[in-house]
Amino acid sequence: MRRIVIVILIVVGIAGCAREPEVADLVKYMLVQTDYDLEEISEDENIFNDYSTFVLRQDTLGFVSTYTIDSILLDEPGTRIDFVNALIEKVGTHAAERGFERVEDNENPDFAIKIVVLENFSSFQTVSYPGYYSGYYGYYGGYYGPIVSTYSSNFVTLVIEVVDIKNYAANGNKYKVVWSAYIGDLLTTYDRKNKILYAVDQAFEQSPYFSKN
Amino acid sequence: MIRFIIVFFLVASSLTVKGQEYNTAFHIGWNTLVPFSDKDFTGGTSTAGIRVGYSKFVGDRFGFGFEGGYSTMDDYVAPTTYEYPGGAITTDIYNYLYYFTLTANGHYYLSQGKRFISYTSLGMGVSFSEYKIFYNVYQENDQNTGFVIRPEIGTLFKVKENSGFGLKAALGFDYATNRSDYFETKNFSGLNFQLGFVLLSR
Repeated sequence: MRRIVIVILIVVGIAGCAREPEVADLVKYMLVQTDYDLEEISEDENIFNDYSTFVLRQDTLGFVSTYTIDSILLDEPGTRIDFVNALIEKVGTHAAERGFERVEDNENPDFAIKIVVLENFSSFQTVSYPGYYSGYYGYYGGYYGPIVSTYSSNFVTLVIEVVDIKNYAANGNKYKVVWSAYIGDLLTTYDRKNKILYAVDQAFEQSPYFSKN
Repeated sequence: MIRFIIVFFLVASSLTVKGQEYNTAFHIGWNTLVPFSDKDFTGGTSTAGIRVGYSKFVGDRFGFGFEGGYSTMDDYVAPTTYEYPGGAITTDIYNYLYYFTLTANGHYYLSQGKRFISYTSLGMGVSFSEYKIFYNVYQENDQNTGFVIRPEIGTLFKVKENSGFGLKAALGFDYATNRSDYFETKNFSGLNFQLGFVLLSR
């Protein structure tokens, strides 16, 4: 009996010590990471000063998943996918507030803002084209194609990228990514829509160079 | 608190010495750890700890044994933006340090009284640590193994004069060579206070 009590005490004690943070606490805030191209943005130069106009798709987000062949996301009222339009408008508003004019595809935009949701993307990592759009994963072609090349995740991640259209020829007929934002995790969070919008605010806040003078 | 503990040990040590009564002692206790190193990572006092050990008495004054210990220290860093060349990241972070020790101990018994058996000891052994950070659903960790030395002073208190069941209290200091280059932490050190039960066998 005494031995059983001792073993129980040890097991309970070790279990009590081997703790981890609660998931609800972990996902209270989304992670927001932003990267920029050091060749294009530095103390001496900022490619955003060369831009005036941008294009941003309406109503749809790119979607890359290992679970489904769907390649776009649309708002589905009443489901957890209710953030698409609000997200697009939020990103467009921030870009406009930074001094850029939103135009249509056929109005020769200087850069495109791509928004892609990645789900369980790790298996796509075998092919990467750092900084350039390969066209390999193109789901609606051209500069809207997902250009994710450096991110690995088993979760659901929102990626926002700025693609340089203006210098397409100068970049060897390639679309170069000059700015990226990674926001996650979209799967485990609660109050997803508001958290995504807040995270987008944060992405722009921590990117003061994303501005036209 | 520390002053109280020292006075407690001095009183316990001053009790009348009695001949050796017991052959072995097994103890299990709750361990509180106050880290001295890298408080930015480990945070403050941790009460999530356990110690389990076995000792053998050799004569009236000496003994030896072994002990295992396990403690978890943690800290929370509110959402902060960290800048690096070419970007920035904003997140809140949960830091965790899992600290496991396995030591061989030598004891010197200051007294073996009717109710109190007070001692000093020196333990040395191996320490395993895992430094882990959680941010959102992502996590990174760094594990390493080191050497730990632990001087300690403590007392056993028998609930009845001839009882084999008692309580144990001990105050010790850990110095371990465990460090994480990845998280830029130094060698681990900390003060520990142990409170638990002891089973004495003749």
